[in-house]
Amino acid sequence: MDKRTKFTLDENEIPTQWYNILADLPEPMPPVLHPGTGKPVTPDDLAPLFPMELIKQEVSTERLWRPTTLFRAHKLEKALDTPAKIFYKYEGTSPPGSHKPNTAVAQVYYNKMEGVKRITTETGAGQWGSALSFGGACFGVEIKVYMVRISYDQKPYRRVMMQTWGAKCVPSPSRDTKAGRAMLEKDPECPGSLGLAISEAVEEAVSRDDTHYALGSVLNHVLLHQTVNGLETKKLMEKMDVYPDIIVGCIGGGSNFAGLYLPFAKDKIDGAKPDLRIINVEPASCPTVTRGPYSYDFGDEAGLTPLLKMNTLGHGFIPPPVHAGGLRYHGMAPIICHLHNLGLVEARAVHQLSTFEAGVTFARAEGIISAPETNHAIRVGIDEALTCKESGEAKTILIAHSGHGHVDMAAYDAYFSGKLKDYEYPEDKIKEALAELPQVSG
Amino acid sequence: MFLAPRAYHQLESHEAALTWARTEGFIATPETSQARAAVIEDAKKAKEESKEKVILFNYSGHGLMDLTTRIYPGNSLIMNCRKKNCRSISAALRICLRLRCEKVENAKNIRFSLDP
Repeated sequence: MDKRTKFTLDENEIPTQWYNILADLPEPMPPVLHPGTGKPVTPDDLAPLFPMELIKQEVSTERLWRPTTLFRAHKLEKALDTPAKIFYKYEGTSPPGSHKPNTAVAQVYYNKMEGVKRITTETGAGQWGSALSFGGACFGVEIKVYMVRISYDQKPYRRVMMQTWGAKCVPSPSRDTKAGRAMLEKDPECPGSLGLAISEAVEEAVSRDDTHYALGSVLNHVLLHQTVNGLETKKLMEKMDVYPDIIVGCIGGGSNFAGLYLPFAKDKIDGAKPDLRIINVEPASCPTVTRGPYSYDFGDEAGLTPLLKMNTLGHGFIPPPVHAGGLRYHGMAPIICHLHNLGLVEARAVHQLSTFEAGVTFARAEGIISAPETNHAIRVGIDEALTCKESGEAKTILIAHSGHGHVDMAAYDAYFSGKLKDYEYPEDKIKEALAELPQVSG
Repeated sequence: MFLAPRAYHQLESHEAALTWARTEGFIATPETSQARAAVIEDAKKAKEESKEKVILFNYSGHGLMDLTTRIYPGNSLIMNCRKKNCRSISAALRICLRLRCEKVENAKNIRFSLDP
């Protein structure tokens, strides 16, 4: 086994094509449905929102911060005293510090090619909004970000990052849209939700000819862009002659982790690696895949988006404010839900205190201070390594490290000062959400 | 001469930081921005003189922990401007506007400290 810690591709080895898992699925995905007619959507239905190229999606490549490094976590292995070999692919070296620019830059590029002047989007904690703002600065496209109000107030740093890159960031609910004004009338103190922010961004995009909308996760083309990460990792591991037994990562909308594992999932679908385990990790306070039903639902609060077949906590979901770690979307990438439904990938929910504990262990061993989202992946990576310690098995564990936590130190502060609490999402809320799901014929 | 020290005012270096972030993508520390201001000045000079120079600068670190230096609304903003230097004062206001300082008219939040 290689004693080295860092494994990096040359720039000319960056994969030049993404990996499209749709072609390799054992069963086709359930279609996306039109919110009005309930019929499968056509490319023309999506044209007011996205550029045609994204709808058709072909290839591109980005070199500024790519390729990213695959690390062998020698020091963490030692600290855990485990025979497991732990690797992590680190996406924190991009300018916004996460995996998000992999799709942000690609989406702004395709919009620019189609002559789009403005792009609206939503953001929760601000990772996606800052990544898209960075993408806007790359190509001179104006970006407007609707940021979930509680994060807008609590996390000013991401907002300042967006401003630095020249974007406009407003708190959602806002007075700029019908959906925002309706919510403010109902509840002037509304902390906002990702679903509502999406409604606002979509509403503005469809009401202006010069404006398109961009989504930072969930959709197939976003996952496609993120596969550059998995393809790089696969190439690196092939060079080292290792293959993961277990791949773990965190899921909010699912794009970071799917981007890492879809090229590996292909080997499982093909039957080449039947024992490969892929574990999607989510917060116990937003347990979309582990507890939400697999059903058609809207992607946003107001019901403007097409209907997606996915695990969902209901489009009216407002995350509990005690939750500090991101990953708080009511739905999930349909590709992940489909793979989960077919039994090809697993899902696990973890509590936030245990994720911060894992993040601190990781930081003290490996040095990198991770995003609270990433700590979910690290938690399960460590748990699997500890299982190996008990069984004596030297399994290879690959962790999707989605980004650094330098802009999230307030959450660490809350953890150290004992202000964070665990929160189990109540069963009756899931039942309530079920009753609100849109009815789909057939 | 082996070394040529230079001093920059913080507004110049912050302006250089914005130019850098919007072109190269990375948000650097205020300290690094001082170096960048020198780089930009030298690059402009090279353009004027039509000389193709290779400029290497020491990029010491990211500025993601230093974003409060860019937060204006609600915080007091202290700006150092050299006396009688209208250019830096207008640069200050320009940066303020560019960062969408919500209440530029709210003068109590913005203080200009004039160097003697």
